[in-house]
Amino acid sequence: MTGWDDAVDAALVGTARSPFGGGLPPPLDGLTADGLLTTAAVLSRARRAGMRLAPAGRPLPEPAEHDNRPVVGRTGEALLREALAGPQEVLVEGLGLVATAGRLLPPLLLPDVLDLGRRDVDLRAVLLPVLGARAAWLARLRPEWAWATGAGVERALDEEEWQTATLGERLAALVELRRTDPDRGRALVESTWAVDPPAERAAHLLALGEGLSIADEPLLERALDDRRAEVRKAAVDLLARLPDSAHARRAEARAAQVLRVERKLVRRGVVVVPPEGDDPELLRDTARATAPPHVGAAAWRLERTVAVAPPRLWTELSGLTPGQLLAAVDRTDWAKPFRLGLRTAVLRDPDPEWVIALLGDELDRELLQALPTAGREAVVSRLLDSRHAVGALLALPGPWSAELSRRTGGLVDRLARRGGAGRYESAELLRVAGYRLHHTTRLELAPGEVHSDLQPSYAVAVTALSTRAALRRALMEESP
Amino acid sequence: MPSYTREQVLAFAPDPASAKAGQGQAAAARWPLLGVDDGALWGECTGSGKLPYRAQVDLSDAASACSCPSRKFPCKHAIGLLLLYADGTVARGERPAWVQEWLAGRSARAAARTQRATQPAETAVDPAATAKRAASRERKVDAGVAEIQRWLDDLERTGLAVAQGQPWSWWESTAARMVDAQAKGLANQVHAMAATAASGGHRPDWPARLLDQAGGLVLLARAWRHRDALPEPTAAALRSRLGFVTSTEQVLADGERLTDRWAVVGRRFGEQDRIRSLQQWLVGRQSGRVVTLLSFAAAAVRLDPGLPVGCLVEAELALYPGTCPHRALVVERRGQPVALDALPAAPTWAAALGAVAPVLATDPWADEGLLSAAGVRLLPPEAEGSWSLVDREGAGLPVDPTADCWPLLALSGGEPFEVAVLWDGFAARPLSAGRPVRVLT
Repeated sequence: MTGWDDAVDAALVGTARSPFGGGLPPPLDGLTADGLLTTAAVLSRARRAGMRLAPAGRPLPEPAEHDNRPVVGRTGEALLREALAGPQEVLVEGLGLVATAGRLLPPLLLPDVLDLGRRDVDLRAVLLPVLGARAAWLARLRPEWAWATGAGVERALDEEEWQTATLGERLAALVELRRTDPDRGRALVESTWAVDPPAERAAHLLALGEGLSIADEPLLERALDDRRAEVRKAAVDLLARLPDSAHARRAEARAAQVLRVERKLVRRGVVVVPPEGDDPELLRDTARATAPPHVGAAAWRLERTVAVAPPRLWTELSGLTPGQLLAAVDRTDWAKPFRLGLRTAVLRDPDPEWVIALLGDELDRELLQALPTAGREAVVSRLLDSRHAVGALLALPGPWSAELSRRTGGLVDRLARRGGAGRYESAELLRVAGYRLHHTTRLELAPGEVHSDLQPSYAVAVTALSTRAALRRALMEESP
Repeated sequence: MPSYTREQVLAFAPDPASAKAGQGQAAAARWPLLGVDDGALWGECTGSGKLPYRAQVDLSDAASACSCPSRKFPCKHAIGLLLLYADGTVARGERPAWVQEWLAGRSARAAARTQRATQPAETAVDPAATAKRAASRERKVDAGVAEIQRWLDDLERTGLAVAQGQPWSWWESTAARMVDAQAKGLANQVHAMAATAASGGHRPDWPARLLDQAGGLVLLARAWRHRDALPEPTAAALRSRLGFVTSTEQVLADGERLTDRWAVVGRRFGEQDRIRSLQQWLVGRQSGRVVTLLSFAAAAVRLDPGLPVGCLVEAELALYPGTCPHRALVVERRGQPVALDALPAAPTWAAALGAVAPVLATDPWADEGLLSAAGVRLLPPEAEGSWSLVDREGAGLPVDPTADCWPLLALSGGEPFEVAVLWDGFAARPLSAGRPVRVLT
């Protein structure tokens, strides 16, 4: 008598090696089956017809807690799924929108999003607010998703774990730790300082930017003397942000030597005096950075001196506004290195007045992006009537305020109707505007209504914009 | 010059992954050579190999060809080309020789097809000729069946382990002879066995699966030899599974008609020999009957999307005779589709599996079927095991290792749900679940 499993074993080996002599078991024994394969044929059908499942044998996971917050609806889910496959900027804006709406991500998107957060530490901050209890429950069931289990609370690393953690894990833990116990965070960095590779040392230092205080000065001064340029550069960046540090006092003293105000009848002028000779202290305080080719030694010294001084010094020393000061500097021979140095200083410590003063003819996107969001929107608002409007808007991540969106809506409509110079930028703006415009903004233009001369890219961009704007409205307004 | 929008181009893609890959190729920087004229679009694209890939599109019908090794149509390079074209960023140029050759070849083939189609059709009215052809086919199938029986006898002697180690060409030569014998169904079964043998790496139950398939083949051969003694439904299943095709006209003329509100509970996309397919499973709300819709499309032709998944659709269907679940044709749709709020489901897996035996009694070769149960919870695997769908009696239906169950677990939140799966006798593949019903593939 042969059961199914016996038949499988016999068939694997073959009857040439092991002759088959079995018959069918009851209740099939009334049938005659000649040979192994025929027997197996009958048994296979019988097995399927009479299939009985084994008990699971293991306990099932407890269900997730109920989370009262509403979940994004179907159309919003479709929008987010598209955003997941697209550029990260668009996804981040979409997630921000969900958070503002007080909603959670829909369950079917959670596995993809949990995988994303595992790979990309930077995304976690923007993902955690929209995950919810079910995501935390799911994350507890899979070790790879451990980052989301507390839904916000990253377990602090102890010294031993710090030693063996990856850079991504260390940085995530460090940023978190610096908010609650900054000294402990610094102590962890110092514990492996001597053995860490230079790129990691630099990254750790930059992470100390969170919760920076004068207590960090000793480590930073030590890093100023590091063998590697990237570590020294990180140290300078941070020291320049500490007004009470010795570094800052040295920078102020040097700055005072560089600028002199002349009182003239009609307008105030300034005289810019680059630092003289080789100053080892200046060299050390500016990370021993080497001059780029074709830049004179004096110009380079000036640039570096200005770069590590806080911008407010210049207004204090001169009594001029940023705009007036730059106009005055532009009349001297040292305008270019001064501006370059000032740009570095403003990037580190962005202030809307300085940013606008420095913007000049070319739109400096990096400067714009260094501003905090509230300040940035104010600056962009002032640029809407200038020719930098499109570029400035592209540098402003969403969601835009209702007021800005109202003014921009008009620009977007005009661009779509008439096209614009700088076609690529305009088309790009149309594409992203769909995600960034405030959800209450109504566009005048219907998808079909584009200027007949417009390139197909415009037509596509406008269609995408109108569709996305509609989807965003659906996200905000539909009930889950 | 015909124009295409981005949406149209993306709809040509055979699956979402290709659409995305195509978008990635739609950057002018990747195409050192790009050009378009009134009839054709072409380009050379940097690929992973040393030589660039040559892609071309016939603008009149969006048919494409590419020298890349992808078996998808259109491939990601063709989609990228079309997207660049849709964006208006392809400049006019002079058609290269290789594009001209391809187009000339296409029009020659099209002309040949038109000629064949417009030749006076052989009137099927001549019964003698029909009978003669039918008899000739039967003899060929007889020979094919005899040959497959010899092949099976050989397999029985040498054993499945040896077969599993054979190269693809070994299986292919037998399959090819079945095609010559006008018994394509037997060829398909051999191919299916080859696929099982090849899956040995990730399917530890491959010996049982392979034996199950061999058993099915043995029964097909035996049933053919005794075909005159078979009851009609089984004989119809036999003919269908051997590859005797029922035409659409015959189905519409003679096929059983069923009108019901059909729950579209699942779908599966497939591809074989450059033909894309879509299969959908429907359950009649009133009759409880399970039927399946099938559509096929060759390269660069849009695949018929069938009925909307996760919906309830009122329709009149005509059934093909033979295989279970019956294949159906949509004769007429009535009214608007409505979202499906809950799946029709049995209370336990045992109850659902109870439907298998009556089906096998009519069509013993029905190795894949729809099962659905309520009150089911997902059990994540331990170590190297597989997921399990556990019903309220604690019985666990094993899930296919290649199915991703995390989205379903997220959807359920650990609570019980209704689920519809495709069961092949060894493992289940979830098709749809939940309230409202979400389709998982």
